[in-house]
Amino acid sequence: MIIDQLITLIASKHGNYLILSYAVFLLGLCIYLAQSLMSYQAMKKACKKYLLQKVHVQHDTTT
Amino acid sequence: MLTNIHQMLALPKFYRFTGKLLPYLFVLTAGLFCYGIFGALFLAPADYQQGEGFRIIYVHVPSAYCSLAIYSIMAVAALLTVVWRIKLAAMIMKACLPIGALFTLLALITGSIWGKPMWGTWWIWDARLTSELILLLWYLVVMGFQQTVSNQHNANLLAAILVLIGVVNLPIIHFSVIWWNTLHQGPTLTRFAMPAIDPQMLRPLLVMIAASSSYCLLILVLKLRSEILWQERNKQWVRESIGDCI
Repeated sequence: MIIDQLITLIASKHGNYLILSYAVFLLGLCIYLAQSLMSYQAMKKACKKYLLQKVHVQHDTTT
Repeated sequence: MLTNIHQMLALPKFYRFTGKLLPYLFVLTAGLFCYGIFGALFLAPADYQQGEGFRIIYVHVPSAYCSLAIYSIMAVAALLTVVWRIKLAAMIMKACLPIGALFTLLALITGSIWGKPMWGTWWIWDARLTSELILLLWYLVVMGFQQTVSNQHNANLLAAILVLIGVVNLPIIHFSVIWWNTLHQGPTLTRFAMPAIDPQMLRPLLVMIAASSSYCLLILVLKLRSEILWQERNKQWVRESIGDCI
């Protein structure tokens, strides 16, 4: 039912423009969300690494 | 009241609060987008003049709305940065910049795709389109300046001043369709007294606007948490929050 309606939409007069705009919009949002999530995880890892290094440096200076 | 606001703006509290908020925001954004897109493509009736092509409104208007809303939030954050030097406000301003630029770009692209079948051209130097393009360029200018200045404090101050200068463009964008004789259609959503859109068409549009706003908030929270972690990495609470294994 939904698939039929979607095919009708795509086949309509301005269907190609409609699909193009939705594709650009959703792809843009998905790519940016993925990038933000990855950079957030990378930042968490970087902070952990920084704290670990700091702990090692403190340990070296005390011994 | 002031103490409560101050406590809310404290970075450790803010970080913990947003950590709890994130999963709910994910679910809310996904749910709103699913319902909004379903409503936009299948529930709303076709326009009697534009046919099925009118459905581009459901991705174009939320993008344009977010581009202006984010700039407004950024302007408030810029004011707080300049006047009260609030650390979190400067972070919000910095995090808003790329999100606003993304939505302005999406508004321009989807508008252009809509313009081709309706106006017969991808682009025209119309007042609304030109002022929106200026908004995108301004976002990029502020981002560029903020990244070129090495001192964090000076970079934030410069960006805040630039953001406040750019506020002039917001009423120009909003009223451009009234002040000038433009090819772009007049306001649809601001006329609450006499809505220019049928309720059946309006409902999915409002859901899509809510979904886009929720998406902006989600990205903003992710970016703010990253920024807070890095800037506060020497603090004890960061070690307690992420460095349990250390």
